[in-house]
Amino acid sequence: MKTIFISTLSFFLSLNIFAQIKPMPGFYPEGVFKREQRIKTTYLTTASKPNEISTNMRSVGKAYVLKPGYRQDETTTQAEQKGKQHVEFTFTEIFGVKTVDGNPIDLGNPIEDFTVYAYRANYNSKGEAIEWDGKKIYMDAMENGNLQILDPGYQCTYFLHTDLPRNIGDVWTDTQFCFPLTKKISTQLTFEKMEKIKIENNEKTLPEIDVARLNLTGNVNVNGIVTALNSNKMVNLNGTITAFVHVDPRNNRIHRFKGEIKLKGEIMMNGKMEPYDVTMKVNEWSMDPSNVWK
Amino acid sequence: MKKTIFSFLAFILVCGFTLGQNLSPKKGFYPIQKTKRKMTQLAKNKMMMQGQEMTMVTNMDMYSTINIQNPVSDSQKISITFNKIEGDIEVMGKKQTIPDASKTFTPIVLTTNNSGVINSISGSPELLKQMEQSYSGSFQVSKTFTQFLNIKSIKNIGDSWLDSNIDGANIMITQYTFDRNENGNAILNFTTTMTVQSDMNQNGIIVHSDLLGKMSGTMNIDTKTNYIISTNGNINLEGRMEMNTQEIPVNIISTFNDSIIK
Repeated sequence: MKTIFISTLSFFLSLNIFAQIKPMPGFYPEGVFKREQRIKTTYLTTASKPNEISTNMRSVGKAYVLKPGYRQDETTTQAEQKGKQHVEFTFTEIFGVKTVDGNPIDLGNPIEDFTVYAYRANYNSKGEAIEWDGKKIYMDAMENGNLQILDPGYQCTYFLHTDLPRNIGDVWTDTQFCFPLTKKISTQLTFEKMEKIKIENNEKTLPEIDVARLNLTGNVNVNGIVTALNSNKMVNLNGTITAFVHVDPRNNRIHRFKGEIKLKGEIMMNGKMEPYDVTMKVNEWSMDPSNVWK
Repeated sequence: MKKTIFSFLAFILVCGFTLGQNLSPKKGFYPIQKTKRKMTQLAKNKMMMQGQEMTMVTNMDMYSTINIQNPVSDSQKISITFNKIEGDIEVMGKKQTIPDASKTFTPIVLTTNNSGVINSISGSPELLKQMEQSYSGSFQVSKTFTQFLNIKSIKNIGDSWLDSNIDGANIMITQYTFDRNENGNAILNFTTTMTVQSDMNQNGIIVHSDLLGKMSGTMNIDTKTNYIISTNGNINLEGRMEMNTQEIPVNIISTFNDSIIK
């Protein structure tokens, strides 16, 4: 009887351990992490031509997260790397199409060399980017796309950042997430439940793991001069983001992100503010090698 | 005098040779002809279903006859008859023969105008639907017959140009390169970036596909008519299929050959 009680208790205790997201206020887990991203964006206006511009992009990226304090390169000494964590990012695939009022344009493939990093960053002990550099083509693309890394304080989006442990039912706000157009968004996260998912890693044996499902909502306000429709423009767009995120509670790895940003407002075109509806659908899947999480 | 004649002959030869190498836009009705074609496709579809990898290998030969008829008044009819479909599908190691459904299909008939533009399409609805869902596109009203290369200006060896096609949510952007001439035919290399988005009703369940990928290969073109004699290529598509809120990762790797047969 006692054995049953102890077994039941340990079972519930183990459930509780897995049903909690650990704090990750600092360095990231060491390893190679891989993910696929699809981002589809549509700009609609009735004011002037073109009335509809849409992009459909797919990329597969890898992050090589090194042990804190370690960096192997020709210009940095180990002493200089002390207290910092080095992460190198690269892509194995990037391509997509754009349509302008129904006319398709191939967005090409900027990958020049699969063997080297596209960009790299040093993070401090809070997991915030403090130094970064990279190949010009990617740095330009990230700067023009308002993407992360190129501003101090941005965190690595392969992992969920949280200063405190999170349990089912917890609701909190964070500014970790950012997308083309939006920069950092303040979002409300709700730890809804634990779910079982299978990880995709191109291997035949795919273990099932328990992940935390977080619902994410927020208001999005994009005001000022930002890169929209391939050049710097004055914009005034407001709307919402809704998404869900799957997080591995053991290492805070984000395995899945699916969300939609809907914005309404004005973009300056031909010297005047014109009404626009903007929709951005973001889909992200982890494709980690199995040795990372086994 | 000898030198002048030689130079003139050389000029004629060079001109003739150069003219033979060109691809030029064709206008008007399509040349009246009846050709038999065979299309061979080997497609390997990899899907992740509930964490398990499922592989489906389709090996198919499709025989068809394209009959471009005499123009009547200002229109021309092109019929495409599927004579035989044979092959097999292997799912998780189990092979099944593809039943030959060609006899149940009525021919597809395209009616084109005197500029070669398709005005109407008729034929077996299920066949048209299957063609629409195929990754290499389908026939479209207001477009030209895809068995002929559609170019807007003269192309010489070394030239590269872009062509694109949108069919609903499916987009194909192709870069052609005129590589060389072989036996009087033009050999083109092509690379296509494609998005494939479709909704298929499978026994009452809507299956939404959302794929992105590349197709590349070579084409052999009759420079006199721009008729595509043969195409060899491969397709690599990646993406997701959604059904009943379940998302299935899909990878399709396919090689194909489509050519005239005697």
